[in-house]
Amino acid sequence: MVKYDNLSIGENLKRIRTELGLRQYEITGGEVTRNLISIIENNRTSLTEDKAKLICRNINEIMEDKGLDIIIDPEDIFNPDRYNAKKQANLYIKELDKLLTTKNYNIEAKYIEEIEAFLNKWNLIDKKIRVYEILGDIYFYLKDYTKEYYYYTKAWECAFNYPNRKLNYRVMLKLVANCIMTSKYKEATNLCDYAILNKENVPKRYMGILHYNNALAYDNLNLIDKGLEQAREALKYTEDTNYRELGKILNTGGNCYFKVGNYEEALKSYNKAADVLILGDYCDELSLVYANMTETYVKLGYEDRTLKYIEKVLNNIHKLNKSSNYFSKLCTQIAIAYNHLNKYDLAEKYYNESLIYAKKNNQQDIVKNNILDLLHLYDKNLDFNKIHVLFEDYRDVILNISLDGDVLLLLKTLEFYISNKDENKALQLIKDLITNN
Amino acid sequence: MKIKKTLVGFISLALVLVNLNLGFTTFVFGGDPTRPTSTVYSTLRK
Repeated sequence: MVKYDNLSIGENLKRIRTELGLRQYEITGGEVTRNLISIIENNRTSLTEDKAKLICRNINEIMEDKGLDIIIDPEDIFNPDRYNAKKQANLYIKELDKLLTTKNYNIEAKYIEEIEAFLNKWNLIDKKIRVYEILGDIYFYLKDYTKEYYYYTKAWECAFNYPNRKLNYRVMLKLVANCIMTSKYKEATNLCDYAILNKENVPKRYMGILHYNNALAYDNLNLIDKGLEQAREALKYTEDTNYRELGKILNTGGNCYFKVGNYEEALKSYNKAADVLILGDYCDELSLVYANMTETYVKLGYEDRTLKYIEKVLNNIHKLNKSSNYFSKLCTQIAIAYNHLNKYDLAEKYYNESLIYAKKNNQQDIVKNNILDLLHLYDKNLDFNKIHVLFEDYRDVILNISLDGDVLLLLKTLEFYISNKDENKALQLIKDLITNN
Repeated sequence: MKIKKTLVGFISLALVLVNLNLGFTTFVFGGDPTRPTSTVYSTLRK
């Protein structure tokens, strides 16, 4: 650690000011005189808490204007060791940033503990926001969404201590993206709606992203009107040349129309999405839009167009990186289309392909949906052996289903009936339950 | 044993879903959520 032993408060203020490249008159903010700063720094008068707060506010405003993520608290001026600790924290942050930029994600739990203990000792909340955000980023790239969620949540909680910190929206948007990836749609919409209410803190170019993510979350909650409203707002904030974002927003709009059975409007939206994505040559999203169009044509009963769009997806799919989240979605969509066309072997092939990559990419909702669809497919073809194999192969997925009080009660009841050889009652219970819902 | 029973419960549930003919999942896919692109910011003096 950098040592600055025996610094007086005045000397410490001077050190902080000069290290931040500021002149005495700059930190007065017109509220104290430059002369006062000078005599404080030369230990000819003591620094009061009120004056320290004023000076810190001025410094922090200048730092924000310069786009630097630096916050100086009055304690940093009164206690040179605390400011030293902040500099040490910066070294930790630099090291973590380096791991992130060099894509070296092998980070030891012990090292994280060391950093957390250090930050806790000095209660450096602003540094915690940064550290937790970087850790969240690292786990995002590792596709460990649980740990990513854990660290972004911690960063977001810390950010509440500095409501005026301009970069808070970034943590929030990352948390929203994580919530959507892990099917926590309600939490995502709550975060977005909160941010929209406080939108003066969100730069304009991020407002489009905020509304798009919100639309996506509402669409997944099947709150279609809200989804469409948010998609329209997103379009207002998105530049005409931002083809990828425009394509994603229009695709979400199409999905909303699809879900309410308005297939004509859905197709209009998908076609617009495809047009802009072709302009930007965004193969991943374009394939996704084509895949969604296959299902729309299935619904409309246009077999030839369904086949045409399956072909379009298949022609593009080899260009995709298999670690892309879209790969599994495309395979599922092709499987669904083949299923409708009664081409069961092909449907099975693509469900299985989707399952492999959805599992690899930790896309739990797609894994579960595919298992259910395969189950239905095998049942339809009276292939019960394959159902047994399916459950054995994906036993870990079933065992990881989260059991809340309701599900636990249901399972306990079923366990009782089955262990007492009363399967009919178990089946009746399930039937009643489904009918009631 | 307990796990096996749980599994049997799940299979029963799934089979009933099939028997009730709820049909194949129908869903269109959304794109990935958008994340802010830049990750690193300056903490030290420029």
